[in-house]
Amino acid sequence: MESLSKNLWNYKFSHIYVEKDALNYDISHDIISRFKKSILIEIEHYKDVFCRKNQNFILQKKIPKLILAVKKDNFIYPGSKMCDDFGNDNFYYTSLVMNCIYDCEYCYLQGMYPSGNIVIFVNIEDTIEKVKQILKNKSIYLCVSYDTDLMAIENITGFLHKWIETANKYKNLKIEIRTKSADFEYIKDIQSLDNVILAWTLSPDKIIKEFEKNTPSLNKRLKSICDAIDKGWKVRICFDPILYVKDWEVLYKQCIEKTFEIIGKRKVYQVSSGVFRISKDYLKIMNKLREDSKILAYPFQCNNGVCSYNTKHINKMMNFIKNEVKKYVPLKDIYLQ
Amino acid sequence: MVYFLTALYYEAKEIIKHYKMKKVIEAKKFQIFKNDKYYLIITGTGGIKAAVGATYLLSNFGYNENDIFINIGICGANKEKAHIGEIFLCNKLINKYTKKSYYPDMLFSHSFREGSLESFLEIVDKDMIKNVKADIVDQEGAFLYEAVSIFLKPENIYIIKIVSDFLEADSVTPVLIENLMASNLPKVYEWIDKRLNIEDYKNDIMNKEENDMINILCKNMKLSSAMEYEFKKLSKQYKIRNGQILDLLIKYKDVKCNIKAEGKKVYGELKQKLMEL
Repeated sequence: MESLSKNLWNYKFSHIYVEKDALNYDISHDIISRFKKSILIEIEHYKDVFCRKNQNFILQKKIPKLILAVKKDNFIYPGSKMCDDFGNDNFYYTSLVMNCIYDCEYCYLQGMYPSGNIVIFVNIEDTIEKVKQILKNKSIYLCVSYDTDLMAIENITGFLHKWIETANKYKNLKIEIRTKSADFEYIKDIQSLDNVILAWTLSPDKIIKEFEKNTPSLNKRLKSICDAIDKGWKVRICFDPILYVKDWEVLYKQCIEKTFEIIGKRKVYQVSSGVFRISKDYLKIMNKLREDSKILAYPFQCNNGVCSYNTKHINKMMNFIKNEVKKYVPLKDIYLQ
Repeated sequence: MVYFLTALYYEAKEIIKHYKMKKVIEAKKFQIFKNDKYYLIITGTGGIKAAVGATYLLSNFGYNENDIFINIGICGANKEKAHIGEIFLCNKLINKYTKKSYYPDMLFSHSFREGSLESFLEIVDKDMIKNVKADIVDQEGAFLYEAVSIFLKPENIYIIKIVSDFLEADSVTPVLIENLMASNLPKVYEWIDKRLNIEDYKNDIMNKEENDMINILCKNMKLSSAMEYEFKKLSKQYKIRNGQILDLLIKYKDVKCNIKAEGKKVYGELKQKLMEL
């Protein structure tokens, strides 16, 4: 496929599929108006496009289409056991956007979704309403950017503004916004909040170039992190996933050193890290999609449906990361998966 | 392989000539033509014949999931929405009766007009225009797509239609069809040629020399079937990670084990190395 002449590819978001119901929302028209050249196709239900059989996830990721839909149910999910709750009770996540504009070779989304296209559920207000109902009875730790990267598409959706606005009104709502983007500027107009954590995933530049297609460089991410801390935001740094690749010790040591050298004396809220881990079912699909992936070509060990490296490698990698990070961050602020 | 499907001989004639196809004598139920790269089937008019014809073609001639399927033919259109001779590449296919819609994956650029196609069981005339929801109408597209998408990927199924009339079926003569096809198909051929330059093939990861070496080691180490399966999998993964594997395997080339227990021990040592970077 690499031999394909460039002019035969369609361009990103060349087609926007819109559920009829989604056309009743102003945000849909805002989004459509941003892509004036795109061909608009009206659909009954997003699954008619997103869940077709035999789709080519890898090709679709190169030139994704946009699907605008209305979420009817499952507004909020309990947090996954593969993700850290950082000691918070009532850990939940939302999925208002399915799929991500980035194309990371290790990403679990390619095992989870049948399509590489991006679905935006335009009725964010319904999810926020559901969250408000739960908040009447208990506090919530809510991750809003798991199955996508909301900061990277904030200029399209404006969802982060809405989440942060909600967090401003409800102090028993703690939000995590996870990202690999360098687009802090999209939210720089907002006053920082104590109950909103911006969590940046960082990787060595070599890993970014080879395995995190379309993502910003480490330097650019670090620039965004510095801007965010300077504006008073709580920033969590996630060295996650740590990949077992050639020279991993050198690569991650350099990455950690560079991170804290650039951040300097700024206060990092927390650091989290974990080795590559994934559901057994997703891994099976990913192995079919990426038969020649260096990351996936490993004899993973599976426990309770979760696959990861063998214990010897995990311990070696996690100890190494912990020892490197603790040079800059107190142990109590380091979370290892 | 590229599979063409047309409803009528007049739609197929120019394609058969262009690709220098020969009739497949063994095909008894439909007229099928082929050369070394292309097949063409003429199914007759209507959704059921098209769906059955497509299934017959794919099932009997050894399709591969990466093959390309092209339905090409004439269609009717609302006068205000298209002009005669306009080529449509359909991005939405509506089954008039089930109301279900299908969406081919539009991954590749092209110079045709994109639009929606509604497929009817009967000929659509002017009186029915109020019932038409799509840009163009035909009697095969949506039914055919549903059948072909069971076999092939949605980015490899193309429904290409050339507007022949404004819902005036009587005006459509064999000569008109032949002329429309002859004048418009060169643009389609040009696009197909470009599209065919893209091959979604995957090279085998292990080469013959490596496979031969692995087979020798399996024999020499007296591995069980399960161990042999594991050894091959680990070897493939090692090669992907490192780009080569022979340097490691060759060290074990002369190891000859007399009993299984001995082989198990040697394999255990090799296995550890295969799991490292």
